[in-house]
Amino acid sequence: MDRIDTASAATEIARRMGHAALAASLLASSGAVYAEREYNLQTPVTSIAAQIFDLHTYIMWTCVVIFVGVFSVMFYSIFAHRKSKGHQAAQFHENTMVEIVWTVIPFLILLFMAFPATKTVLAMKDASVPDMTVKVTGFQWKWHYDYLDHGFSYVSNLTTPDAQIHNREVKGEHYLLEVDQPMVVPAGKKVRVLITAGDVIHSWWVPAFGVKQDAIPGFVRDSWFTAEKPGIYRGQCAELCGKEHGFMPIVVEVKSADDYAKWLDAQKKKSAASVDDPNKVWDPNDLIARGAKVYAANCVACHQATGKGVPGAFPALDGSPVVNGPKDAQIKIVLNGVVKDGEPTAMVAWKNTLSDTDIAAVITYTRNSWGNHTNQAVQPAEVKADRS
Amino acid sequence: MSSIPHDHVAGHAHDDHAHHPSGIMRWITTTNHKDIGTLYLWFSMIMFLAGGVLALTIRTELFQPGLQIVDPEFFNSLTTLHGLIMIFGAIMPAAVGFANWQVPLMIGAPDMAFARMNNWSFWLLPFAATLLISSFLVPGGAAAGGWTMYAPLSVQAGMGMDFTIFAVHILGASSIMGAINIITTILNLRAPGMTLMKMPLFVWTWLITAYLLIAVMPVLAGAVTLLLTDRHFGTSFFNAAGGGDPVMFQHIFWFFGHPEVYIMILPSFGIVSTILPAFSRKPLFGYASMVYATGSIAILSFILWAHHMFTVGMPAAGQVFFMCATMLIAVPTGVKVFNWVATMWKGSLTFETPMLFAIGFIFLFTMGGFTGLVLAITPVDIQLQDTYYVVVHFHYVLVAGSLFAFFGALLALDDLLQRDVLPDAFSRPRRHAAPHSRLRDAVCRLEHGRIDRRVRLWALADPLPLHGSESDSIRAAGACQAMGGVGHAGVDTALAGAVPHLRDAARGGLIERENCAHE
Repeated sequence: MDRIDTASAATEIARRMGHAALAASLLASSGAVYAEREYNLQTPVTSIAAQIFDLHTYIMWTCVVIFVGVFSVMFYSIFAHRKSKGHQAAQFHENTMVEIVWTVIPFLILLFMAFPATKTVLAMKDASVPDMTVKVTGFQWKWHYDYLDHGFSYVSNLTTPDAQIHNREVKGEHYLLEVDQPMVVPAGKKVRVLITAGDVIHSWWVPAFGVKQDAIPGFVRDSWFTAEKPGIYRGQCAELCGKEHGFMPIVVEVKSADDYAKWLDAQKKKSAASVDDPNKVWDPNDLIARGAKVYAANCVACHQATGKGVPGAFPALDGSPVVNGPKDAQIKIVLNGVVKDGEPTAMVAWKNTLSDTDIAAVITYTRNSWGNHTNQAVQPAEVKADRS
Repeated sequence: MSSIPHDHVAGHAHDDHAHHPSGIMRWITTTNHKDIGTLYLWFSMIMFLAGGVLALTIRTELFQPGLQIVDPEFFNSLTTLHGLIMIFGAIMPAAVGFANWQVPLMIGAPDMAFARMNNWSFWLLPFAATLLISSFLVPGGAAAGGWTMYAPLSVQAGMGMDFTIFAVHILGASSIMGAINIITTILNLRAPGMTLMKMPLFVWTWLITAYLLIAVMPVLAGAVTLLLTDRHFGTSFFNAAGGGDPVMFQHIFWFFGHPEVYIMILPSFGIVSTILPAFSRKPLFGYASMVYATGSIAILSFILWAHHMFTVGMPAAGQVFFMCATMLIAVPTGVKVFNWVATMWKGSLTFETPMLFAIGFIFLFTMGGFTGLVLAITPVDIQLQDTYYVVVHFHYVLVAGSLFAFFGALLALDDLLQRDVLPDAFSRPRRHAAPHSRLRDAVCRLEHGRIDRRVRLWALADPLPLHGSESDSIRAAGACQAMGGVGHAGVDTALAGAVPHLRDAARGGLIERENCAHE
């Protein structure tokens, strides 16, 4: 940890304390100040999130009232009924009437909480008649957004630089909450999200929308939101999903209808252009350059940027007999994954996730990086031939 | 009447000739419930420190953003093992330790019903703990999927997970044996006259806790066994690709997990209900409603497990049902808090350390209750699930709740030992309950049951006739004498009048079940 960080941490703490003091004074005068309060739920931008915010406020104040009631009695007896003051103990030990009263009253209070809560539950569950549908798939450790209505999809990866994570640089404003390609939706439209996962359970959470839905491998759950206001909203994976669980944020950009239409158009063109011809013969240097990107997006979490893997958990590629051996064997491993004793391992099959060109590129990259000098290039056609 | 001391002496003469292992063998072979209770408490203390070191490492890493001292994977192992160690190693064994110490004394039993099984259920624990902690050393490190071990993440994990699974099996076996022992002791070894509704509240809460343990520990064992077969034997219980369902693991786990929460807190309720009246010099308010509230909490705890899974996705009807069932828990829990406050009301309070812990318990446990109520509301839970809010909620309950009560109980217990009020397990190794030499065995047995609500009763003149006229003859002898202060003659007289049949029971064997016509 360097000195700059200590200083920035101190400033950060001072800022938060300021917030808390400010918030405390605001709280005394008004309950309706939402913005920038870091001790409460995020400012809601959907009706559901607003209902949740209000429900929470309502229940919290009810609890505060009960708290004050019960504990003022307790503190009064601590104050007044002390032996040191010579208070003589009474000997009563039951009172049926009182006991019935304090069973029934909490029950009634609960009823008054349950009714509004149930209304919100029913509203949350009503994902019918959406304006658009996006399928969200959680992977270790990134999110995949699939625009089902328009036939394109992309992966959203963390962009916070490694140097910030390891305290070698000052942390940015959106530290660990920034991605290369956010999910983009139009404002004021009902968006239905179909949520699933490709490996383990993740959870797709955008606090400002009041949406948190676990992504369960093999099952599709749905949720919905209608974001009222354009802006960028950030969330995180909310279900422990392994090593990089803290490094797969969710960023949703809400655009106005016009901006969204432009974005959609550009995205469609891009996806049409990015379809590679698997029969094209590539220059090895281009393949290596592209492979480096594919590697950084998909492989680096386990095999590491150094290609050394993690001893005991993830094998090294640097110097690996597979990477330096026949091309065919490596292509098949990347395509189909590694299955040990009938169980899939952490080396998953990439044939459905990556294109022939991407696989060819990343294999070429690994065969010509670090200590590996095979000087062999794998062409997309070879990958295509090995798909069975 | 004169035969009581006679038998007593004869009994001990016989005892003294028996072989008593000494040194470490004394502790390994002990069947004395107090020795075993002490072992449980020491074990729990060690595990508490072990889990605490993990927690300190977690907090050190989190001192500022960014990676400082541990890797993310190891960090996940720390949180996972912190949870497992604190729950299965610290809180639960401590509660069993107090049960071992106090239940036989409070109900007038000579020892636990299955004294040898008691030994076995303790000595399983160090092995399970070793297995659990040594998993840090295996390739891939300790389990890192959270203490909930959700599939499929835990199916993916390395060998540390298998260590955890077997450790959980062993801990579960130990808990089940302990629970069977406690239930049998409470139901069969009560002194004559000690009817269920006269039992100290600590005994009641443990009776109910023990039933919960028997009901749910096998469920956990089942869940981790399914996990084990998924990991190694090609089954697909939790793998959708093979026709299984990852969510099923969560249902099975939380069917164990929610009653488990009450397993950890109910004994503390009993402890607080014992400490509070003692230092308020006033009977516990609403004994019967306390018992019913504990029972209702236990029953409700079986029908609200899915409130841990609101974000998993379930039909609206399911969410509303589990929300309402969860909110209902607030009613009996509220009754308990009100009863405690009413116990203090118009008492004559003093603030020795156990009392401070008890008051701290009520205050902070209630915070845990309020946060629990907020979490029960499904829509709010959707926002708060899997965040620090939940972490804070259960630490209010488990640290400021269970742990505070245990600290209070430990200090109260220690206090009694120091004053020679309670028999001392350290100085008197015995195969059976070894009451203090200055006490008649029968008096001791009777006493703790009758006047349980006074932890420091010998210092107080005339408290708590909760059980009405039956304790009058004891009280006539004077609380001080009854607890072994000075002057036994009055006690002998009182005893002979009240419970003549205890003479035989004083031998340390099982108490004969009599129909108590003399009462």
